[in-house]
Amino acid sequence: MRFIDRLVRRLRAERGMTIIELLVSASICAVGIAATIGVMDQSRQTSVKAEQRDAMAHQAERELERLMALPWLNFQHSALPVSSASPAGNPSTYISGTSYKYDRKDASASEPLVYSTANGQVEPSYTAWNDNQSRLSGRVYRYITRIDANSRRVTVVVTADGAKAPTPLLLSSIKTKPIL
Amino acid sequence: MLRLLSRIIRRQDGIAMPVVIGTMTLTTGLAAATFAVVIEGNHASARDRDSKAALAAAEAGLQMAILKTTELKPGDNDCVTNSLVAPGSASNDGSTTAATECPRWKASLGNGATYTYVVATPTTGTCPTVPGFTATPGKDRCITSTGEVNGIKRRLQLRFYFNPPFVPWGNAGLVGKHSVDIENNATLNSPVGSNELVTLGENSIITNEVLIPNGAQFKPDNHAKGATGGVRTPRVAPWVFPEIDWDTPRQEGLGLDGVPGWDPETRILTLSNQQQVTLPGGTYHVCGINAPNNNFLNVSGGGVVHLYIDSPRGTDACPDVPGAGRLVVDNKGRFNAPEGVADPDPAQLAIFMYGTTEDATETDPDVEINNTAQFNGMLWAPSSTVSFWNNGDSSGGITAGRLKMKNNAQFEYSDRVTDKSLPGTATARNLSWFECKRDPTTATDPESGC
Repeated sequence: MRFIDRLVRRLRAERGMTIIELLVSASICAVGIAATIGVMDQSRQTSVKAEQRDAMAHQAERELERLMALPWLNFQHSALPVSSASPAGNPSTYISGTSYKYDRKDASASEPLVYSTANGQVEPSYTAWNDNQSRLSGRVYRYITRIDANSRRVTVVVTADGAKAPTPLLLSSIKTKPIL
Repeated sequence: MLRLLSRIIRRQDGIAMPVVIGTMTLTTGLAAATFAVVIEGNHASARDRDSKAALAAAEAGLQMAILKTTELKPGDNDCVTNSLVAPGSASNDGSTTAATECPRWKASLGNGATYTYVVATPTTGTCPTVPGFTATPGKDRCITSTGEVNGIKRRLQLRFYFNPPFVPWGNAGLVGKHSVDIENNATLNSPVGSNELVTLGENSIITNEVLIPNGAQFKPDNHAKGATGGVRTPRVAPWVFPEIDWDTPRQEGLGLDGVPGWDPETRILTLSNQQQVTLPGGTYHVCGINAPNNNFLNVSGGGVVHLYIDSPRGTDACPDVPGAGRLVVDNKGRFNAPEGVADPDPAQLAIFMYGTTEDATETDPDVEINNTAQFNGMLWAPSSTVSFWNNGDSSGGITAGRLKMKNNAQFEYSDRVTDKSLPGTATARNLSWFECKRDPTTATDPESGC
């Protein structure tokens, strides 16, 4: 009982309360600020990733439109693309011999690559891209595969540089040769 | 009451904690709001990516719809999916098709992207809001294509005009632009047509009709057996001879590399005695073929060979050397007439002649099939003189500038070539697409909402 009485009296007294409050408050503040900084950093990373993905999407769309505008005769690789694991994340690892696995969700979906050294105007290897501000950069890969004699699939894969870059962005469409 | 409140406010004990908690609450709220905005931005970025992928998928759908329409050559009342179907047929995406509408055709593009297209007939759907060429009512087709990726949809519409390709042997197996000259013991089991003149020599017979426009002449010899089907005006008169596409075979046509006698410089094939050539199906571009003695040219498997024989005239694709622009099959040569095959399919071999002169002349035939030679196929040579001499035996369909058949010529019109068309003679028009609302505003009307 004595101990409880002493504690109650102690708590009722105002002496020394400000310094304790200050210490507790400072601790809460420190934890709160640390958490806020964490959230802010996460936000920054997410924001950067979104910006990268936007830039990659624009690159992919631009490349797809460029390729789709090629005449049918030139809508093929100028040489056979080859499988390569370098640089890291190279989608050319999906090349198997003269075929390309165009569907990441179906490993059995594979089509022959189309190329002509005489007429092809689609690069067999990647090209680099950047945002002209030395902030964002990456590579553009493209694969032209044969669906049948009169239709070809184009797959554009855009990657971004950086350890925390988004996953490669993949855009595909079909170009056909109408029977006239 | 006021005094109590004043005392509480003046006291400093316990004030720091509420202030800190309040500040932290405010800060946390602001941070959470910022985070939510960033997350939303991230989602918007992902949606933007999917939206671009959906647009690409919708474009793929338009491309495939155009290809199928040109491949299948629909009649005015046909819808197009991956085949020709009637309005009201079942869609393959599980949706209901109204009785008066064309069905949807859905396909996967891979990586989770799909496209769905509807090709309306000229009457089941229109694209009145799509800009572009002047509409041709009753002919234009409206194509609506939807691309979908991760639930994001983009829907495009295109107005498309398609005039089917020319079918040269739909009404007659033998057509001479200027003349068809038949002499001595010929038996032609085919309608024969010309815009100017058909002559029939001694003991020759046409076991079908002679189709000539008004002003053209049919001149049977006194000793000819005549045309058993009589003489009449063709359904479309005069006969027309459209230009075909030569650019594509010149650019993409195969050579005959590896075939003995093939000269890659002149692109002329000269076969040696009894040499046989078997070609797989495909489009070939050559400058001349000379098969002088007992040569066979066969088509492997069930393939179809399109053989373009170009000419030095009007192009630098062929050198001006002897044999360029010509096809000679002599002395028991057999084109698409393999031994042991009783009824070879003439639709497996199509030969297109550019012609060595602007128009067929009386002399110097570009095509000679002589001395018991056999030809089963389709021959398009409206600028050339085509000559069958001495027991020439042929089946399929033949169009020439001037067609000469002498001494025991035999020809059999084949119903297997009646629906075959000339490459490069169809016309199609379409301009840029127009984007619509993501879903039709009327569920049963696939063209609505544009």
